[in-house]
Amino acid sequence: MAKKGTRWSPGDLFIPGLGMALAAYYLYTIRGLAPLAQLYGGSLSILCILLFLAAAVMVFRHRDAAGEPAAGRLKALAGKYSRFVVMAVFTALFIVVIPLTGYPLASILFVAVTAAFLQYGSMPRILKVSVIVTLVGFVLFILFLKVDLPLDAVSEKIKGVL
Amino acid sequence: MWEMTLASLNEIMGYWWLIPFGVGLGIFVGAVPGFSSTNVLIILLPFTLGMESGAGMAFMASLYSGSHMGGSIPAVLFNVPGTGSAAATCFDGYPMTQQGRGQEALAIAFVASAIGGLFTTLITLGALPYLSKMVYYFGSIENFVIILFGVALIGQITGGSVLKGLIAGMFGLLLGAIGYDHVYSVPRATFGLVYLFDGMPRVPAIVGLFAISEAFSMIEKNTIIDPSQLASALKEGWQGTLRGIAVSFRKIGAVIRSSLIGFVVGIIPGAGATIGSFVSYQQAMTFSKNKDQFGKGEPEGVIAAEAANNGLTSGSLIPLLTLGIPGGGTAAVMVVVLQAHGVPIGPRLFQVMPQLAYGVVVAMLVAYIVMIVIGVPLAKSLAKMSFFPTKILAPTIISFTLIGSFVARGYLFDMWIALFFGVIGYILKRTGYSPHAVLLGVILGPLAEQYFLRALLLGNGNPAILFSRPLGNFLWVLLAVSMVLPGIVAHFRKKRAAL
Repeated sequence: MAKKGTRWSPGDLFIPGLGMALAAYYLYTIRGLAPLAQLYGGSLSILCILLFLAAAVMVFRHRDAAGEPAAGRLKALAGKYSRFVVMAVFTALFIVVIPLTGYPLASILFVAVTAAFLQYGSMPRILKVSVIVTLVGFVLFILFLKVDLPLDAVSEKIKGVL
Repeated sequence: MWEMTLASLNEIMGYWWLIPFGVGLGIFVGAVPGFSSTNVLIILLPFTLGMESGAGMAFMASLYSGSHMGGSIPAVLFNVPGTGSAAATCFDGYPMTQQGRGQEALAIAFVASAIGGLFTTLITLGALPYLSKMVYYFGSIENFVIILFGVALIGQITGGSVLKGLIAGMFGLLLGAIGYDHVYSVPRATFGLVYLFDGMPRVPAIVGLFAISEAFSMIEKNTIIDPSQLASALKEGWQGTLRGIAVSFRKIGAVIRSSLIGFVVGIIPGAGATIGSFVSYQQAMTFSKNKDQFGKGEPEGVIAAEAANNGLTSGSLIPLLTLGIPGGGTAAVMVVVLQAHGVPIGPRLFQVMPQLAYGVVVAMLVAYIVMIVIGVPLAKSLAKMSFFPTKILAPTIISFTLIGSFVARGYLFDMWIALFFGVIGYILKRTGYSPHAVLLGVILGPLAEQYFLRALLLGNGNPAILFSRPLGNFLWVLLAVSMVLPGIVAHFRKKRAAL
């Protein structure tokens, strides 16, 4: 199966675990359907569960016995991936804000806040770049490609005029 | 036939300016993630309807060809496929950019696209009436086996561990099985969300797995390019472009083979450019001497994906022009324009207006020549975009690609799907699983299920139907050979090396 020497850690079970949870839910939703409707997804679900079990065995067999204690590992992980977590949260907030303020304002806020978080430069520079990025997006997607994104009253008027 | 070609060429010269305009617009919109040539043709429908039928078709054919080439630009530079068919271009194009070879990768993508397209357009021109008959031989069974060629790629892009590759592939296939079942239309695993009843949307999945996850990853570095390669990449003049052109011509056999694969897949209605590029990539990887380098910046990987999706463009015109069957979304828009002009579609087109049928193909031929002229000199300037600091590139990519995920269906919910896949893609990369395998599952899974179940229904539930047709059996044998042969060849190579 896995190449000799491939190290497996408990974190490697996240994806197969997610797959197994989805497989279990999938099997639940197709119960009682005609055999032909169950055939494809049902077989895949069972395979997913079997593969999760195989992954669990691999983690158990190849675990790093001399590793740090769990609490220390978690702390190290939190430090290592904090930027990713913050970016994911900012992206989620961006999606939440779009229908409330309209795309242009949400985009300026998102680009400015993330660029500031990533320490892109001074505040005026960040603001300038975020306005440019939003303008490019507005012209390209809304004016040229006619994407029907939620807009604020001013942008709606500009779109109508142009 | 040649008289007709010359007459069509003569006619096209009357509106020659439409072709560079169409190609340029196609390259531009193809590079915008989530946008396809279909979207733009729909937006420009009033414009094309106002033209003469020949001019309208020439414009649409050039835009269609250009969009596939444009899709490769963000795929190579930022791991963001502009179109679904460019997803396979990311596999090797982006690693080349990370190694400071972005200019070379772009030049390879452009030259392979143009030569692949040019070659298959010439075939189309010569064999248009004969090739149309091929469509009749492809049913659910044959389509199912062709999709299996793509699915077989899951086993090959394992990222170091076969088990992890299989887990990622199965996870993707299961995600792709969400939505209505194809027999009784019962929703499965939709979490009660109506947005998922039609299945897992492809564009947000691609955007998330590639673009957003890459944006999350790139913030850990200052630039996309590896710091050790940055200085030499910054100093590079036209050498990268010249190297790319040279590589493409050195591997001309791979260009021709890949474009032919794309061409054949293109003739099959409904198969689509994404399948064509994945099947071609799988074949290139299977039979390459540098198999181990695939996914790490192997030029042949870029050639396989790009030559195939452009080869497919001309192939997809065959069912449209000869039978009136639109092979995909863009072809369907072309049908609307033809119908609006009262042009008969299908076999009668060749009797009533043969110059129009040949004119579309000739326009495509000219478009590919224009693509070389426009595209290749752009590689140097475009490659410079990969030098941008990731601190501003990452939020820009997220902002633009989220819009791209919204475009296809117009649901804000699709942005959440893109974010979900972005997070999953990031975790996949960090834990050594292949996001490409998940994507293959999400894209090819629903099609595989659809054709598999259709075939079973034809056989009243008897799986023996899958082996009941001569062409289907031939494809099964090819699939088996393509999976077993590389192992045998490698075994004998090893044996010879040991002697």
